Order: sequence, then C-alpha cells, then structure tokens
Amino acid sequence: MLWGVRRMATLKLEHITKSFGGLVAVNDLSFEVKPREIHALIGPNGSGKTTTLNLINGVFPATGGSITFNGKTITGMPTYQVARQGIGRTFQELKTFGSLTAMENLLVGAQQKSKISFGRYLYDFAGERKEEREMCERGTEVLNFLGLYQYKDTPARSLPYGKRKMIELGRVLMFEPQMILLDEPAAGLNPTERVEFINIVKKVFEKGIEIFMIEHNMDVVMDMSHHITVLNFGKKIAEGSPAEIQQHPEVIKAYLGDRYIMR
Amino acid sequence: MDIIPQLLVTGIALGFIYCLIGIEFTIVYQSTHLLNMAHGMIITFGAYLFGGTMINGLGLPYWLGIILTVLACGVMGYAISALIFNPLRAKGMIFSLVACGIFGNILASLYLAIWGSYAFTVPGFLSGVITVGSARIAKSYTYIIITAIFLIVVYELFSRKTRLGKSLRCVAQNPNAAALMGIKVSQNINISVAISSMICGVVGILVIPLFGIKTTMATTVALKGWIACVVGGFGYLPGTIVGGLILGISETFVAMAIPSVFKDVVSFVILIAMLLIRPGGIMRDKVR
Amino acid sequence: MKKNIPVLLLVLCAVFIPLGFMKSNYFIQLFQQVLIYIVAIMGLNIVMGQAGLTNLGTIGIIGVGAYGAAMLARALDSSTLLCLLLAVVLGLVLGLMLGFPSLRVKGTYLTITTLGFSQIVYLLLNNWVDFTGGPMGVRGYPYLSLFGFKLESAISYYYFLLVITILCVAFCIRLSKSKFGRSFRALRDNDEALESLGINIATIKVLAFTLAAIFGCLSGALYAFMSRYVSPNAFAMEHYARYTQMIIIGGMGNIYGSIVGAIFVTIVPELMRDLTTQYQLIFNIITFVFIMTYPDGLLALGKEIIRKIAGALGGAKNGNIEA
Repeated sequence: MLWGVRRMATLKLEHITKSFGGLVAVNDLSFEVKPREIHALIGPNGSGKTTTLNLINGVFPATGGSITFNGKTITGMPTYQVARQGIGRTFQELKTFGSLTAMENLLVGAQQKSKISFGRYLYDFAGERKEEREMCERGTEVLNFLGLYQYKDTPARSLPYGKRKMIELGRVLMFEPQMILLDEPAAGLNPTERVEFINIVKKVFEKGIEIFMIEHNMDVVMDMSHHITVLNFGKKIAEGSPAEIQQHPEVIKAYLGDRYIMR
Repeated sequence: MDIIPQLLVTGIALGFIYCLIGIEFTIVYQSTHLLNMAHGMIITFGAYLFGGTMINGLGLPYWLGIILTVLACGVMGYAISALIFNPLRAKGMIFSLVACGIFGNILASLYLAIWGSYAFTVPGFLSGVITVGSARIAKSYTYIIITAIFLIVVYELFSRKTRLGKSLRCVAQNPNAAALMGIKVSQNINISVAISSMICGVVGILVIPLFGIKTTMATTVALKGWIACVVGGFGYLPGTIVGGLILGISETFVAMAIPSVFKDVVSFVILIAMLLIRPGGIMRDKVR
Repeated sequence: MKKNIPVLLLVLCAVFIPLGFMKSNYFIQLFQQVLIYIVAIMGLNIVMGQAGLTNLGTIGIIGVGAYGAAMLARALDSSTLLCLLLAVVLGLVLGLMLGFPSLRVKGTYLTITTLGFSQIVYLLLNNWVDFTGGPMGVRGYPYLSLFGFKLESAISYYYFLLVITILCVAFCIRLSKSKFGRSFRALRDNDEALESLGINIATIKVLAFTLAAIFGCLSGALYAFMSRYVSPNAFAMEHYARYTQMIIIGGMGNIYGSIVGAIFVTIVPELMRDLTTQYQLIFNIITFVFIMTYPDGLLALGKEIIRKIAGALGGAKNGNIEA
C-alpha cells in the first residue's frame, strides 16, 4: 500500500541557463536522470548545484533551456505544480513544520492528493473523516518505515536534527512521488545518522522511486550514486560513473587544483 | 492660477512631514525589524511637551523649548527601546505590534491626565503668511520644508560620515556580524530608536499649527508616513522623500477636486495602487 | 474526553450565569459583547494565529458587516437572517479583496495594507454622508427577528448569540483539526516547504483571509442588532488593536486561548470600573506588563498553574516533597 504502482521516470535538463542580473549561475547545463539510476550532482561551493535543484523544483524560472519530466515540460511551472507532477524535494536547511507533530507533518505531505475541496468539506462530514483516516493509516506506514512511530505526537521542533530530516523525507513519501530531489542529504548528520539515512534512501530507491541528489560528502556520493554529473562555475565539466569521475582530471582540478592530477 | 503655488507649497510641506515620519519609522524597522507602532504617540508627546509644558506652561523661548523637547523625546525613545523593543526582538512582529499598541494607549491616557482632556494649541507659533508675488503662503509650511530638508541632510551626514552613524547602519544590515565586530547591538538599537524619537519630536512640534494638540493628532499622519515608505521603497531614503512628496502633493491637489473630507482616502488609494502595480515601491530597484 | 470537561464547564457557565444577571441590561449587553468579540476572534485566529498572516483589518471588516446588515435591515424595514446572510457574502468579497494583497506582499507591507484598509473603512463610514449617514450613523431598523420571533429583550438576543457563537467555535475547532487547519499552521511555519509538497499557498492564504472576513462581517452584523444603531465611532482606529490584543493575551494560535483573551479583555476592565475612574489605564498597564513578561498568554499561564498545583498535590499525596 505504501508504494503504489511505479512507473519509470525520467528527468531531462536541456541547455539550462540561469542568470541573476549579471551573474550566470548555471551555464548551458544538460543532463538526464535515467530510470533506475541514482544520479548525483556534485561540484565545489558556488558551482550552481543548489540553483539547479531550485530550477527543477520551480523555485525560480530558468533564463533559458528546458526541463522535461517524463516528456512533459516543467520549465516555468511553479513549485506546487512541479510537486503535483510527482517530484518531491527535501531541503538542506531543514524545513519541517515545527509546530506540527511528526504525524501532522506527514499528513500535510499527503494533502495534495486530497479529493475533499473546501466546499465539500462543509457538508461531507463522513467523507472527510474517511479521508483523514486513510491519510493517517498511510502516515503510520511511513512512520514505521522510517522508524519514527514513537515520535508521532511530538512537535517537530522538539525533535533532533536527524529525526527531522527523516520527517522531511517521510513527508515527501506521503504523496507517492516518482522522483525525489535530495538537497545535501548527508548535511548536518553525524556518521551514525548518515548511515541510517542513506540506508533509508537506498530502500526508497529499491521500492521504485527515482533519486536525484546534490551532495558534498564524497563518501556518500561514491557509495550511493550510479551516475554523477560534476559542475564547476555553473558549467558541466564531467559526467559518468563514480569510478570514471574519481579519475577525471577536470574534476580533480576543480576540487583540488591541478597539482594533484596524476600524469 | 494664484492658488497653485500655495497648493504646491502645502503639498510639499505635508510631503516632507510624511517623509520625516517615514524616515524615523524606517530607522526603527531597519535596526529592530519591528514596527514602531508607538511612534504616533511619541510625535504627540513632542507636541504636548513643547506646547503644553515648555511654552504654555513655563513660557520658555521657542529655541530652548525645541531643544529640550527633542532631547526629552530622545530619552523617551531610548527608554522605549530598552524596555520594549530589545526584549521583543526575538518574539516577532505581532508581539511588538500589540505591545506598542497597548503602550500607546497608556501614553495617551497619561497625556490626558497631565495636560487635560481639551485640545489646545500654541498661539502664534509659526503663524503668519509670506507673500510671494500674488501668492500667500503660510509661514508654518515654509518652516516645515526648511526644517525637514535640514534634518534630512544632517541625518544623512551623520549616518554616513560619523562613526556612530556607520555602526548604526552596520547593526541594521547585519546584527550578527556587527556583534562579532565588537559593536554592542542592543545599545545601538537603543540609540537608533532614540534618534528616531527625536525626529518624531521635531515632527510633533512642526505640526502643532496644522493639527492642534490632542491625543489623536498623529494617528492619520503616522499611517501616511508608513505609506510614504511603501510608495517610495522601504529602506531607501530618497525613495521615502519621493514617496512622501507624491502623497503630500496628490492629496492637496485632489482635495481641490473632490470634497475635502475624502482627502485622506487619496493616500490609501495610492497605497493600494502601489501594492498592486509595483509592490517594491517606486524606486524599488535601488532598495537594498 | 478530558479536554472536554473545561469546555463543557465554560458552556454551562455561558448558559447559566447570565440568568443571574437578568435584571441588569448592562451586564447582559456586556455578555453579548463578549460573544460578538469571540465570533470575530475566531476569524482572526485563523488568519493570524494559525496561518501567521498579519491582519489589522478586523475593525474595518466588522464595520462593513455591521453597516451592511444595518442598512439592509433599514431598507427592507425588517431584520431577518437575510441580513446576516448579506454579512457573510460581504465577508466573502472582502476576504477575496484582502487575500490578494497577501499574495504579493508580506510581513510589514501586509500589516500596513490591512491597517490602511481599516482606516479607509472608517473614513468612508464617517465621511460618505450620503451613503452611510456620516457621523450620525444608521438607525431606525428593527431588532432581529427569528422566524417571526422578535429578539427584542437583551436576554433573548444573548441566547441567540450564544447559539451562533457555539456553532462558530465548533466549526473552527473542526477546521483546526482538519487538513485546512494543518495547512494554515504549515504555512506559518514554512511556506516554501508547504509549496514543495504540492499545495498552492495562494489558495491557502486567500482561504484564510476569506474565513477571517466572513467571521468578522458576521460579528459586525450581530453587533448591529445588539442595539438598533451603528455609528462610525465604534470602528474608529483606536479600536483596531483590541482584537490582536485579545489573541495575544489569551494565547496565540489557540482557539481556547482566543476565547479566554476575548473574555478577559472585555470583562475585566468592566469589573474594575467601580474601583477607579482610571480603570482603563490600569487595565492597559496590567496587560502590558503581562504581555512583556509572559507572552505565551493567559491560557498557557493557567495550564502551568494547574500543572504546578496538580504536581504539588500529587507529590503531597505520595508523601514526596516536590522540589
């Protein structure tokens, strides 16, 4: 019941450019997140990773180029519509709903699928109760999957960082996304929490949800991803499997400087 | 035709009043990120103190009354900041709104208790008319314009050239960084509010010939001062000047065409138009 | 179940206490005023307490509702539920009108805009003499009649208000637990995250404002039939802060807190009236000090006191001394 019916999902960026006034943050970027491949976007600070994620997510529009999801153009769509296409997103700076309990946080995630409009809410008491019950059942499943059930009635702001990160992920799972964009999943977690979180992400992937992430932590990137795109100053400088990227001279140059390239 | 210079001067004078209010309001907002809802009452305090105590009560010469009143307002501002704004900074805007609102009510009651419940004025203060060609212009308006320009110049110089002024701006832009550089943030905020209150005091004195002295004298003007900020672009001084002038002049000229009771509605119509068309303010591209 | 006991007690008090004051119109009208405030506060609690959108336009909204109902009643020379319905419709329109600025502007700007709205309403009510009667106000309409039964006596109108208030509060309690309530609070906590979950926050904001405006206009209409007269003075700017005060004093974002706040702000000054002529000033000083020292509000304070008492009692029973 938790995972629904999966369909192979593809995300494609073609010649994406984003400028802020005079500053070009992303420059002619093209890549494809293929089905059944965990795709990571890496690069030094300021290389445009977060901007790219925000572009996919609809936080701001691209200056040029197009983004398609399963063949449908999503460039220029506002964030909530992108989410309704089946793309979920977590945030680097945690954005849990502090005053809501863990369960309530999750329930908000399920709400986009609700069939009860405000008008119907006014008279269909039974229908609304039924929908709430169904959302709660799903919420319980997700909480159990994440190992958070004991916190279900705790306000999110009282929970430690690691648990809140899980809640963010749980929220997204609630609307049965086809793809999840992870914004620095390892950030802020201690090694134990990191392992736990990565395992959960891997399980989510195994259940059929595509994963795209931006990440700084190389261990995580190399461990998890099947395909990596490397950015520097907004341009793609390399793309390939983890093994290929580790040897790639441009990548080494970008991160460490060209003294470290092995000739 | 003769009436146009008169209207223009009136409009500009009112515009500068709104602008000054906009400035003092922005000063507090920038340093505390809170809305100083009590500023109307501080303006009123300036008027009451000057008119009621200094002049009518003690019979002091104008210049002395002005200096003492402005200083008193500064002290009051410092106290308000230390007691209200600094503690409330962490809580958020809604609390400061309510706290300032209640505090304003308390002040109003105190004014009535100290100075009586009848509106009064300072006879002969800034009265008189100057004749330019065929136009008769009230002296009070010219004093307002001159004083406002003087204040704005002094404030700009202070803010940009003096050490204190610069540190106040630092605190406004980035309190954390300022604190790390050894600037005492709370202290600076208190000083900013004190400066803002001194400007309020001047405004209070200037508008005595216009509105008389009563507890409600500043309510509408205070609100229009806000609108001047919004129209011109929050946080940008020339924007506030432009905003204030637009409001003052439109108001005065429109009052000729429609019944003058609707004069006040003009500012709000401009506000709504601004928010729908250009929410950042007219000069929003220059706003930080 | 435990939560329902204090609520039940409150309702019982509301039903029975006024019976003891039946001889005094003054007190019954005071209780009527409390109920009318509660209806308005329910709306404000949704938009400000839960959704976190500053709305200082309450007094203006109430003014529109009051005048709308009064003028319709005078035009038809009959005051029926139709007038209340008109108020609800006006609220709907106002809510949409006020909702849209909230989509374009935030925080400070929104505060100023809503305050400006209140000011415009007052100016129009006071100055548009041809339409609203200016400072003279609107009078000459009958008391509200309910299916032919005229609510002329203060006590009968009080019980009518009580029914309406209970319905409004029940509606808000249900709303708060529903997905809409969650969306409002999520909006306040983190609007970006809410949007990233597929919810159009523009809809949520407009919904919040519309509900607030409907409750506000309804409150105004109910006010109009309290006495057969409305005047602009009741909606002057000096009253604008009262509603926000009630919410903060009672406890932000909490329906029961708002009710406590409304009761406190309305009744306590009246109780102090006999003590001194400066009762309003002293009340303001007390509330000011209270807000500065205990911003969580009366309800939270009450809960803490009860917890401490229960703790002390429990400790004494077990023979332990609670530190």
